[in-house]
Amino acid sequence: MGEALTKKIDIFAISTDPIYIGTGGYTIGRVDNTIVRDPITNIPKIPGSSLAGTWRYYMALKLISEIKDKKPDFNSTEYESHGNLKEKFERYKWKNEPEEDGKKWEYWKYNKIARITCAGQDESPNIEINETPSSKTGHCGHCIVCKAFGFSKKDISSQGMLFFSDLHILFFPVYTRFGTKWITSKRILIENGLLENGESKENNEEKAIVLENPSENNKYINLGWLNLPYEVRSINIQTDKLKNLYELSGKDIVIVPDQLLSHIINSNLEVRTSVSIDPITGAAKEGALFTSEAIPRGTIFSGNIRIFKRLNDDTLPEIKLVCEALEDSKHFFETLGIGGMTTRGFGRLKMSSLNYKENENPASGGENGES
Amino acid sequence: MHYETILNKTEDDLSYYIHFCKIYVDYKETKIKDTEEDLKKLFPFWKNPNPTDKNFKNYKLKNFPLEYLKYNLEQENKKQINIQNETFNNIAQIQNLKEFTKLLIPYSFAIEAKFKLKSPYFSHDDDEFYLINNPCLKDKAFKVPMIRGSSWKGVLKKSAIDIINENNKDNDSNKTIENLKSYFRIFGVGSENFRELINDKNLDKNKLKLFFLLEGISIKKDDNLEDIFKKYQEQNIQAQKGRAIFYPTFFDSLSLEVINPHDRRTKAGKNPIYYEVVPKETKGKLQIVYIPFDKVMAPNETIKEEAERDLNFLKKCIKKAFENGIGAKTKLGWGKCQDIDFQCFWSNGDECGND
Repeated sequence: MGEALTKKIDIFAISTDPIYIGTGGYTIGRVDNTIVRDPITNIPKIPGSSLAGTWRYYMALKLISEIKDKKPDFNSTEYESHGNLKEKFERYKWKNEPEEDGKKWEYWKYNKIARITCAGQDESPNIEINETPSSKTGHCGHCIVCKAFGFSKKDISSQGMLFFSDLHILFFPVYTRFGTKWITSKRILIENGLLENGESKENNEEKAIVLENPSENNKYINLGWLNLPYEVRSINIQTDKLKNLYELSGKDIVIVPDQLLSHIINSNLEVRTSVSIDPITGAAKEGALFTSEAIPRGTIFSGNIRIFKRLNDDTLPEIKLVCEALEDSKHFFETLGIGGMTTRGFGRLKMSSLNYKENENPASGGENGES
Repeated sequence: MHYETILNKTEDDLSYYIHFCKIYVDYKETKIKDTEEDLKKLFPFWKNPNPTDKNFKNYKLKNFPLEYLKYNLEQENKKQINIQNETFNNIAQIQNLKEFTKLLIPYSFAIEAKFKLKSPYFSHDDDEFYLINNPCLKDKAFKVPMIRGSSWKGVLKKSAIDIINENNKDNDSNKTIENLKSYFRIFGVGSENFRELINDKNLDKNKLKLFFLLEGISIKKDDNLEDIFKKYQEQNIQAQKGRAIFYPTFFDSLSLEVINPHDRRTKAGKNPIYYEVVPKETKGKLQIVYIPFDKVMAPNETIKEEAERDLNFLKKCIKKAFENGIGAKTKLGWGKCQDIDFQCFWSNGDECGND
């Protein structure tokens, strides 16, 4: 046990499609279908629960597609003759796969009874954990997916090892006279540790800050409908954290006052009007017109995942395995996406690679990123 | 008479000339028949005058400067949009199809169909504040003209229904079932009508008819669609999300089209309507990724069979959609595409058959 008990991984993501995570129900807004926002700042976000739920599914998808043909048959007759479940995990071997525990996360020994229903809501929470191999539905309670994201059975429940934070907007793209610029504010930069030390934290309430002058004879930059005066200041923003995600250069960044950020973001969201077509008449259906809003393509998000391994539980996978599992399944966000309307050009997200080197920074709580 | 030089800016900006020609120039001669020398004197802006230039041979002299300038302006100002950041495409489209597909679960595939527009493409943008009334659809943050993924899904779904209806005429119920299954698998079914039908053990004939009617699938009186659906029901199908994911397409040029409605009485156009369109000959990429995520537990042979069927079905749909056109005003023949190159990869790196 040479590794830390907790680990915090920073994640960055860029939306490769507009992202729509609806609030459902009726929220008063400028459109019919509103998206989730942070209640305090009123800035749209991707809730940690959405992230955790989709990631759980993608991890299960990756796992099952890998081990599908190699799972030992737990329900054969010889199975009855062995002792308890733990012994069986030891005895039963992967089919045509050398048994090297910890070689690949997919072949962790407890994955032998994993199934696709380990993702999603547990359909049979009322059975005991030892009966799960023989039941067809619900979480199995043993595999890496159940251990990492948590499960609950009749006799035993376990909190997951993964704690997700919300994904907050870090840079938001707005079209201006000088091309597309990514706006952010000092507060956000400080929260994410992208502002170098020594830069004053105070915020000019009237001017935007650009790092390079986009034009000599202009003093204003238009962010959507807002024409904002700007000043040029050389601030060093450490965008190298985003290197493997998107090459964002300093001249593309505009720092706007904290008070204005939410207004600018909310007035530059992608708003779509959709209508349903009646196939019989070929014209629009009556009363089927609705509007929805979405976070536009090219928005850069930041968040983190904390991983916590409880000491007294030897059935938990190593943190390294969990990290590899997350890394191997994150590419599904680039295809299947997150949120609503994902087969219609919404919801795709590109994640930066998870940096899970042995760094010993304790996970800080304080965010409700429960899985 | 000799042509006057208005400004010495001729080489930089021909648009001044256009206005000048429109208003002031009035030639008496009818056709261009002069020698090169004369032409040079007459039209100093014509760099290499050629009396037999087929582009201008048939113009009347008085129209010539205007036509010439228009022609040249068109050549010079093919309004190319310089996407300021080359990585933009990196954001929205898959760069390396083969490598990308390898990450996916077995029997996924990815299609990339490069095409050329045979006629202008137009789709209305929601931008309220624009020079003309009909701006072309552009990405919100990058202002690049595009076809949305949802548009592709819609137009391909429409093509799929057409194909199903064509095959329906053959009265081959097995084929129809397979097509329907492919259709439901690729595009997904989530409508309430379908849920009701599929969960109802005693199939209601009228409801079924209504469902097919709303989907646009044509029914003949003596059709055995009921049996088809019963068979379909027996296979434990559930309402599900579609397996195919449709990527947006981006273009790099824009131009203007005019539609001029004519007055019924005077037979003359009054109020020309301008459309900002993506001109013909522009090239684009259609990308579709297919992931059989709902069958991950099934035996490989089943998934393989389904995926291959769906691939063939999807190919037909793409072909048909290219012929029918995409975007708005397809009844005027807009939005038709010509296939240039078709690439497709399975998740094990094999190429799918290209036909």
